[in-house]
Amino acid sequence: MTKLKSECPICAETISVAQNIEASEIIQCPGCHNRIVVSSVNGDKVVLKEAPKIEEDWGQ
Amino acid sequence: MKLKTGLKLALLHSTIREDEKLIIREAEKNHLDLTILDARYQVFNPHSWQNYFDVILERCLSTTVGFQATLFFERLGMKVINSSIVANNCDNKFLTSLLLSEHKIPTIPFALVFNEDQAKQAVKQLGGYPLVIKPVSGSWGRLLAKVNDDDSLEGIIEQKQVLGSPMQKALYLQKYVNKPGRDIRVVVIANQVVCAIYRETSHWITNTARGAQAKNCKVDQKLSEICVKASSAVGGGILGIDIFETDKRFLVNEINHTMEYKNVQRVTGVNVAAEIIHFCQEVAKS
Ligand SMILES: Nc1ncnc2c1ncn2[C@@H]1O[C@H](COP(=O)(O)OP(=O)(O)O)[C@@H](O)[C@H]1O
Ligand SMILES: [Mg+2]
Ligand SMILES: [Zn+2]
Repeated sequence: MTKLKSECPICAETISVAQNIEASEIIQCPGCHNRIVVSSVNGDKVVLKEAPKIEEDWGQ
Repeated sequence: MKLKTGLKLALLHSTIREDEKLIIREAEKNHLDLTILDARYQVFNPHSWQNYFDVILERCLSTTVGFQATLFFERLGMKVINSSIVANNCDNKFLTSLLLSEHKIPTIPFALVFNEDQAKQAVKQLGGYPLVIKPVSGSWGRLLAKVNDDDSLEGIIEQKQVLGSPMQKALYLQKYVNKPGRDIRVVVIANQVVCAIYRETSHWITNTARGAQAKNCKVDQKLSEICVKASSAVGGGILGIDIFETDKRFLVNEINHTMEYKNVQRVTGVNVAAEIIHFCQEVAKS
């Protein structure tokens, strides 16, 4: 599958993501290992943002 | 997307995990009309809300976000899976325990207290140490404490009272159960067992989020019966039931209403996402 390219908002490393990535998905930056959230996907334009901190009421 | 059934489904979330992606892919495969809604970016105003869905699958990572959104959609007359009643019954571990004991379903002896003196009385009532203190609403095996003696009980309670949020000050106590290096997670949908895994680890906390290994678990008649009863006790729907094994019997520990199931799907080979979608369609049609 072809990959889309974007940039880490923290360390500016180029990150390639799968084409079927979804907005609001969380990934890990291979450069700085921070958690990054997919802010939006528009065609082949993927915008990444720093992911929110894990909260007490998350998950099960 | 081409509509096949004409039903409008929504996936309500607050972060897309692998679990949600499995649902999205399954819906695509079946050409379903699925709207992906991030609850964090909606305005929940009944006077301006425009969208109608036949069923909303609530899969929020944040329990708080998921619960408020569920209340909203239910009051607008939409069906939400799981319902706010089921969500509340499961989110609150004390309430789950009360429901299980009310329905005479084997569970772990428990008590809820707010202070050290009452905690010590509860320890006696529960038959002594060790026991486990946990938040009434918690997840991923976080903020649990195994308490072996009065000294640690006093320390833990003081820490919670001084440093904890108000919810952490409700002290939910359970007798500690000596598990055989694993517990069981059973997926139950519409009061029927779908599949199950063992969660194996040398640590007493067996959440896969804490590193336990998932292995396929065959569900026998006895386990199936207790899970079906536990599911009905909290109101049914899509549930992940945590079970402990003891020499004599199975005990229900807790029930999850927006279970993570990617590990279950991977090791059992059962397409849980497909079962979830199927159940949503059934509810939408009903
Ligand atoms: N009373 C107990 N006795 C023994 N182990 C326990 C007990 N309560 C919890 N655990 C262990 O901790 C894990 C997490 O506890 P649980 O009540 O399921 O909370 P969470 O919502 O964090 O998953 C359980 O799966 C089990 O391995
Ligand atoms: Mg659990
Ligand atoms: Zn980075």
